[in-house]
Amino acid sequence: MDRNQFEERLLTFIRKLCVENGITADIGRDTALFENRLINSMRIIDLMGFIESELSIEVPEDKLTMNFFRTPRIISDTFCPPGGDAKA
Amino acid sequence: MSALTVDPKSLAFDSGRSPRPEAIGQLMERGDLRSYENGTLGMSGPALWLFRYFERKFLEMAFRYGASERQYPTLMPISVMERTDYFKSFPHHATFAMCLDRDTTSLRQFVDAVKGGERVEEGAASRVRSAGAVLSGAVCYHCYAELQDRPITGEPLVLTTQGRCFRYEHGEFAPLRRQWEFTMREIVLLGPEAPIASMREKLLLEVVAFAKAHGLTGRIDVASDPFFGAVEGRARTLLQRAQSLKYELLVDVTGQKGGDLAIASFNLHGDSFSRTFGLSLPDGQQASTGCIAFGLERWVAAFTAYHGVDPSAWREVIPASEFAPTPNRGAV
Repeated sequence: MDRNQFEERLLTFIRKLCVENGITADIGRDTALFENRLINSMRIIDLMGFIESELSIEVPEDKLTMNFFRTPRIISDTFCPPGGDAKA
Repeated sequence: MSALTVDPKSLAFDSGRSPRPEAIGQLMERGDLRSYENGTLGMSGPALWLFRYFERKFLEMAFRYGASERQYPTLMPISVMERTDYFKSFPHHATFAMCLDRDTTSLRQFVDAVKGGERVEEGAASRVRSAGAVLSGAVCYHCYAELQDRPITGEPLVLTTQGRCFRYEHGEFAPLRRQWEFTMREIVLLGPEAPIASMREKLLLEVVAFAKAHGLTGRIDVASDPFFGAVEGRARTLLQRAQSLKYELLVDVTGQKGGDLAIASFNLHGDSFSRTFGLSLPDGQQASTGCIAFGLERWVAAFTAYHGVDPSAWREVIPASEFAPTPNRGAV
């Protein structure tokens, strides 16, 4: 899966997750996921599970910070950078 | 977001002293600390005096914030704890209370086995059963259970409690610094989210000032709990860090890499405990909770690392009025 494909799938997933939880928000690739409380303790597990299963990775401990999860664009750049292969 | 209104990096402080990692060894040589090598220890003499000093100071601090004091059992019913995420998040820490089967025949067989030379653990292995309780991993759980289904009034409601806590670190113990059994004082906050975040920050700043005034070198850093692995553990770690739900006061106690010791933590829980225990505000909204936790033994470790083991040297930072009665050496 290339980076742009993953980003599209990630955006679709996050939008669906929000709708299922009654959140109406315009989610784009640069939407701040945590500052806007779109991702909370209930949804973070679903998000992590999606990323890891889509890319067949286990996110390493040193990447478990907001720097790498702030927006869908940053998540995609970090874990599925241009050039193709998913990275953990 | 739950971040502090000040930059945590600006809160770092330096005593100008170098830590002396040999202090703990000196306390043990003098008999003021007795490590039982299973992650438990005993204290007497100046070490115990220092422990009692920090006990007093943190209780006084809690009272200044209007805390109502509590004392709880060390044993917590599994039926209460399993309603939280404790066993999913920290199974590696859990210490269960077990007892021998009360069946008379089984007890007689156990006694006979032990009298016959069988080791107690071997004799007990097939005859123990759960007593339905776990030893507390943290003291604040008791507060949420006590207040279950009651509306929370106060802006916020503040409780404080101290108790023995148990986190089995699977042999990775270090006297005073990482113990199976240790003492925790918590200041527990319950109420609306904003006042809790505000009080957490005020307490954090006060604890930093307290540590600085006691001649330590330390800093505040965003932290996360040691959640058990797999997707859920990684997700919870990320959320804690991303939302600045947990800060720790870190003190370098060895002067070497890896010498940081977390001697206090400052935690926000959102509504996770409120949803579990039915803690609501008078208007029906979910309450939020938070807690400030002090590891008492770790404060003894940190203080002696910077001031040594001779109480006369401690008077440089501890007022003379605190020294009545004069601490004695550990003695039988």
